[in-house]
Amino acid sequence: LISKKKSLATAAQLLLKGAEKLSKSVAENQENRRQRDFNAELLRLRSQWKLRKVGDKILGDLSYRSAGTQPWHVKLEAAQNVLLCKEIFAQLSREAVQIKSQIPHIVVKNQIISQPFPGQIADDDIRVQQLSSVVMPHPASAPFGHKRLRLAGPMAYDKAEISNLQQSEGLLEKIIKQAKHIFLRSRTARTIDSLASRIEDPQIQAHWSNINDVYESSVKVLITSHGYEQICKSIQLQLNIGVEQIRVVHRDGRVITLSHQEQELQDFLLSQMSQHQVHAVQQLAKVMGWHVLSFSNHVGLGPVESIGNASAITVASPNGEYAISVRNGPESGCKVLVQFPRNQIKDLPKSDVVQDTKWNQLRGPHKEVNWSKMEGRNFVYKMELLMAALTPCL
Amino acid sequence: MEAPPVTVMPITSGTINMMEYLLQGSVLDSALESLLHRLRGLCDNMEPETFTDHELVFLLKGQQGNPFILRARRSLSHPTAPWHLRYLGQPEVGDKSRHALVRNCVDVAASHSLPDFLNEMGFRMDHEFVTSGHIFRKGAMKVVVCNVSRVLVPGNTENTERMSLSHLVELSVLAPAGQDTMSEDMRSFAEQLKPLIHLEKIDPSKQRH
Repeated sequence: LISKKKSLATAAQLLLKGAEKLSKSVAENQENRRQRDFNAELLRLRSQWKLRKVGDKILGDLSYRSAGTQPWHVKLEAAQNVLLCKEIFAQLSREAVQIKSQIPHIVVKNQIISQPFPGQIADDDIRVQQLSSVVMPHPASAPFGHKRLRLAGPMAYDKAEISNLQQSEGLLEKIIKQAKHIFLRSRTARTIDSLASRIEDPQIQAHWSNINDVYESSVKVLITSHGYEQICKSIQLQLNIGVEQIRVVHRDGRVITLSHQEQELQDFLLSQMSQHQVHAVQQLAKVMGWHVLSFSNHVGLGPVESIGNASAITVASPNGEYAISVRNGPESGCKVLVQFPRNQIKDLPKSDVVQDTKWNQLRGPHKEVNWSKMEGRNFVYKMELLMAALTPCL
Repeated sequence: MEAPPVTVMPITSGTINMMEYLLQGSVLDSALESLLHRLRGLCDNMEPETFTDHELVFLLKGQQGNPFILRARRSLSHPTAPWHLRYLGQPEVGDKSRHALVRNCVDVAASHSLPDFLNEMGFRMDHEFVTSGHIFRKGAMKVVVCNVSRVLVPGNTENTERMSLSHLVELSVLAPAGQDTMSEDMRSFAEQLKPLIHLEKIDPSKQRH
C-alpha cells in the first residue's frame, strides 16, 4: 500500500513539474509578445515623427505628445496627393501642347479637354499614377535628355537603332487612345442593342468576349431566325473594335473595315440582315428538297437601295412545277413571287409559237405573294409554309 | 556622277540653335549643407546626384584676335558615358533688364577619341580642371553645385588641388532661340534661394584680369 502511495506521489510530482514548466513557458510567451508589440508600436510611432522648421534648421519631434493625431496624417496624405496630381497634370498639359493631333487639345485651368472624336466633349480630370523618371546627365554639363539617345552620335547609330530608342507615346496619348476605344465600344454596343430591340426578324445576337485589351475588344455577332438557328447560320461576324476603327471578319472570310461612325455599322448590319433572309431561303431549300436555280447577294436589277444591295434567289420545287423567287433589300423589304405551271393559269394568253400541249407542263408567269398576309411568325417560317404548300404530297 | 546639292544657308531650326540661359553664384563650403538641403526641397523629387567631371578647354588660334574655344568634358564617375563637346558663344547683348545671361550654345556628344580628334584638327589644350558636386533639376532648369580643382600634372586627374574654399553654383536652362520665357522662371527660382546664395548674371568677358 505504502509503495503504491509512494509511486503515486512520484507520478503526481512529475505531472506537477511538467504543468509548472508548461505554465511558465506560456507566461514567458505572453510576456515576449507583449514586449514585441511594444517594440512594434514604438517603431510605428517613430515613423510618424513630426517635422518643424525653426529658422534655417529643421527639428524633428519624436515625442509621443502627438501620438495618435489621425487628422494631421490625413491632411499630409491629401497634400501629397495634390502635389502628385499637380505634377501629373503639368506633364499632361505639356504633352497636350506638344503632341500633334487633328483636333487640338484645350488646356484650361485644371482641365484638359480633348475631343477623341469630332462632335464629342470629354472632360478629363486626371487621377492616373505616373512617375517621371529622368536620368541626370553625366558629365553634368550635358543637356537633359534620353541617356541612350546621347550615344547615338558617338556610336554612329543607324536609323533603325534610333527609332528603337524613341519613346513610344506619352501619357496623354495613351489616355486618349483608351478613351477612344471605350467610346467606340460603347457606341458599337448601343448600335447592336438598338437594332436588336427594333428588329425582330431576323434576330441579332451579340456575344462579347471577356478577354479584352485596353485598346481592343471583340464581339461575335450572329444573325439568326428564331426556330431555324441550326439551319440558317450563314451570317456570323467577328467584330474587332479598335481605337478608331472596327474590323469585321465575315464567316466567308471577307474582312471589312468600318470607321467609327455609328451609321456605318448600322447600315452594315442592316445589309447583313437582309442578306441573311436570302441565305436562309437557300439553306431551307436544301432541307426541303428544293433546287436553287439562281442566287445573288448583290442583284443589279430593280430599285436601287440606299443601304447596301438587294439579294435575290430563285428556287424550284422538287418536281419542278413551281418556283419561288425572293428579292430582299435592306430598305425595300422582301418581295416573293411564285411561278405556276402554265396549265394552272386561267386566261393564259394564247401564243402562236407555243402551241403544243406538252408546253403546258412548264412553269409560266409569276404571281406575287401577299407576304404580310402569310401565316408564320417570321420570314423563314412563312417560307417553309409556302414551300410545303407548293410541294404536293403523294 | 554629280555631287548632291549642298544647302548654302545655315541650319537655324531644330535643336541645333539653342541658347543657354545662365545665372551663377558661389557659396562658402561652410554654407554648402544648408544650400543642398534647400535645393533638395525645392527641386524635383529625385535622389540628388553627385558627379565628378574632367573638363579640358581647347583653343584654336586663328589669324584674328579672339581664339575659338571648345570645351570637352568627360565624366570620371561614369567612365563609359560619352564625352560632351560644347561651344559657347558670346553673351547676347540684349536689353539690360533680362535677368539671365544668354548665349548661343551647341552641345554634341562625342566618343572617347575626342581629345585626339581636336588635336588633329589643330586645337590645343589651354587648361583643364576637375569639378565635382551635385546636380539638381527643376523642370527644364538645371542647378549644379560644384567645387573646382586644378589639375597639377597634365592628364593626371588623381592629383588635384581645390581652387578655393567655396562651391560654384550655376542655374542654367537650354532653350531654342526665340523663347524668352525662361529668364522669369529662373529669376523667381533664384529669389527662393536667397539669402543663402545670390545668383546673378556674370558676364565672362568682364572677368578677365
